[in-house]
Amino acid sequence: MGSINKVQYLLAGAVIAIACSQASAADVTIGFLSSQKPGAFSDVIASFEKANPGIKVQAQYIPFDQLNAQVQARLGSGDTSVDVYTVDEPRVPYYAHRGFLMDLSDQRAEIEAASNAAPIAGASYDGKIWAFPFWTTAQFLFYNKDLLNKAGLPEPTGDPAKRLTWEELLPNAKKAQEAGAKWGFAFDQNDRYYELQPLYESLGYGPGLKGDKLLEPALTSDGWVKTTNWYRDLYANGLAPRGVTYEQMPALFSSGQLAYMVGGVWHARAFRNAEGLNFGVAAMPYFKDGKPVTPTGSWTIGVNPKSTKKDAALAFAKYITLNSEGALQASTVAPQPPANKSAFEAYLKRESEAGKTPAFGDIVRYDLANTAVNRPRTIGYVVFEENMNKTFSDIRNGAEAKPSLERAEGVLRAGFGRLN
Amino acid sequence: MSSVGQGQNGSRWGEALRSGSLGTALLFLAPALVAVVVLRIWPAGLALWQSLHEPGAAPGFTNLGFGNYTYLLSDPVFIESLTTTFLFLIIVNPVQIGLALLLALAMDKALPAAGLWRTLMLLPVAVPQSVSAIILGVAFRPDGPVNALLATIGIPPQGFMTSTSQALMTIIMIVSWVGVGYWMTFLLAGLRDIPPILYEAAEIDGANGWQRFWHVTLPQLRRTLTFVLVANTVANFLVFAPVQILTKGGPQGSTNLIMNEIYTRGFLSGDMSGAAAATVILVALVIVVVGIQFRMMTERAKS
Repeated sequence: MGSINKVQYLLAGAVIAIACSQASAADVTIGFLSSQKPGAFSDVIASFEKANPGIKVQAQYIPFDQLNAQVQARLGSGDTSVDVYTVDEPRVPYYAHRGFLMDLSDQRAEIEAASNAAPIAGASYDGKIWAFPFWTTAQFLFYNKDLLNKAGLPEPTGDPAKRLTWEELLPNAKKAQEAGAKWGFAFDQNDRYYELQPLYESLGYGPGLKGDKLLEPALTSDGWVKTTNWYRDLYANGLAPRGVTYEQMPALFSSGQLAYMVGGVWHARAFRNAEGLNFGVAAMPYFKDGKPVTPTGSWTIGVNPKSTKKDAALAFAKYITLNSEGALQASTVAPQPPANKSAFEAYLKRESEAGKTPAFGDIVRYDLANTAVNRPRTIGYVVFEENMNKTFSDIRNGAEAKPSLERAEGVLRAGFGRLN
Repeated sequence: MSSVGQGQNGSRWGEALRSGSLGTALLFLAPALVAVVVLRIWPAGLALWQSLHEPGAAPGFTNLGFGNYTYLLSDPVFIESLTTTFLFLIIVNPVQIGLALLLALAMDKALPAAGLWRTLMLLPVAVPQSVSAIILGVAFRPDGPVNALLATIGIPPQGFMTSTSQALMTIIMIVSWVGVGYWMTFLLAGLRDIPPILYEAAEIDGANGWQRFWHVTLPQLRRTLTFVLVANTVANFLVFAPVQILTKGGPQGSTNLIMNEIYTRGFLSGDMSGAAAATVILVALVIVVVGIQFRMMTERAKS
């Protein structure tokens, strides 16, 4: 190094400066906000960057419970450090209404060519498309084969057309508990409207909202109170655990403490990797007097209308949604079924074979076509969901159903009164 | 500045200006002054402005102006959060300050292994409130270790955070776990500042332990106690992390303290102008309560 003189230093400096200025002129860095685990999108981002030289994606990961707050605070104040972000599907109407989403109607032909119809409907509001359909969801009844064996119980069939009723399942769950399972049955998203809405819809009691714009709460009908009491009893009778949060629920199943659990398809992979766990999947049960209904609706990809790098943002959003390779790779992240048509089929094959659970593909395909119900599409959904989740939590932990629902109705009326 | 150089104060300022020390002082103070303006006064002004104006960039809520305040004061959820906050303050402030004072008095005596006790009491202070909340949240779970402990002595399992009658008390316990040790350090410093000669004089006058505490310790500790009371009240008005982490205001709004209500309103429901109005009401309440506390403490001192 001693032979380098001042002129050489200056020359080297100049070269580096020119290189840097050229790189910054060519490279665009976009911010991508999501609620997946840190690093979840690293591989798909690397593939995108390889296929799109000049665009860099800076991923920002935050917990699911904080995503809405971040979007409201950052996009609401005109922050442009988020160019692309994951949007929970039922929040599309509200975010579109608040100006947090870019109108993608000019991309309609491309989106319709690549995506399944239901997720497109989920990304639409007021006749326009506001987000790229990304993932969809379905639920399974996961069961622990060892615990069922111990209790002498038969395994539920994998045929979605012959699914169990709740009336058949709960006595079995009790038997499993008597035979040694710590808990008999539980919902994994125990307080979330998403997973509980089907109970009411199965019996025809509606989503809990009515009116033209779905801005009138309808939570206190006899049907709603009766069904809520059914849910409350699961916990009051000790079949399901109180005081355990959603984040801690899958661990109860994977550690062999829970005989049956209704949970999202995305848990299948984690359960496959859980040591010593011998599990199977069946379709989500329904009430004997009602019809099979299952929850759906997942993530979409939105573009910040205030983004200063819209072209790059659109390129990335399209890569993980409309491009079948990108979409399939991204579906390993959560992993949830992609909205992309060709990636969807490849996903079902991959997950069914990997898990040695042949029912996987049959149930997802059947439920999405026959039993899936979307959450209410209204600008009041954000207020609705936040309050419903709290109400379900209260009831699960012991509050009486009727007064809790009456209270929720009052809170929702006050909240909806503020929306225009 | 025309009065500079006139009167007593003016001459001091004028002198400072002439000698150039005012400029130096301002230079040193500048970072603090900038921080106060940028981090305190400007956001407070912004909240006031936002509470009266719906920002054009965020449509979706009715443009209410002053109506924000009338709406909030007629909203049962907001009113309930205010009453919950006052109930919380009425219990938590005396509990924390009382316990902190007791501990400070105990620490002031030459206890065996005093250093160990002091460390144990200060340990929770060193742990962030959110971390304490997570640890204690697991402890107070229905199937958690606290209930297991109660079961061994024959007490039935308690709801703690899942019971409407116990959740607020559980939050008070968690907040006090951190707070008591913290406020104790101030009170201990105050106790150590009391001149021993006063106690000697009281002893010569034949005062017993209680009389010494009542007539010497408390009056001498008044300044410290005023600070602790005011600072503790403000801190407790702003309690947020344990509520957000453990109960999110539930069950049935029983722990919905005002900071959680403002957060829910602004960031979860997206009602920013309503949240700004709630913030202004909170600041006004804090000023009134702190004002009353100052007045009571100074009047008592005069009497």
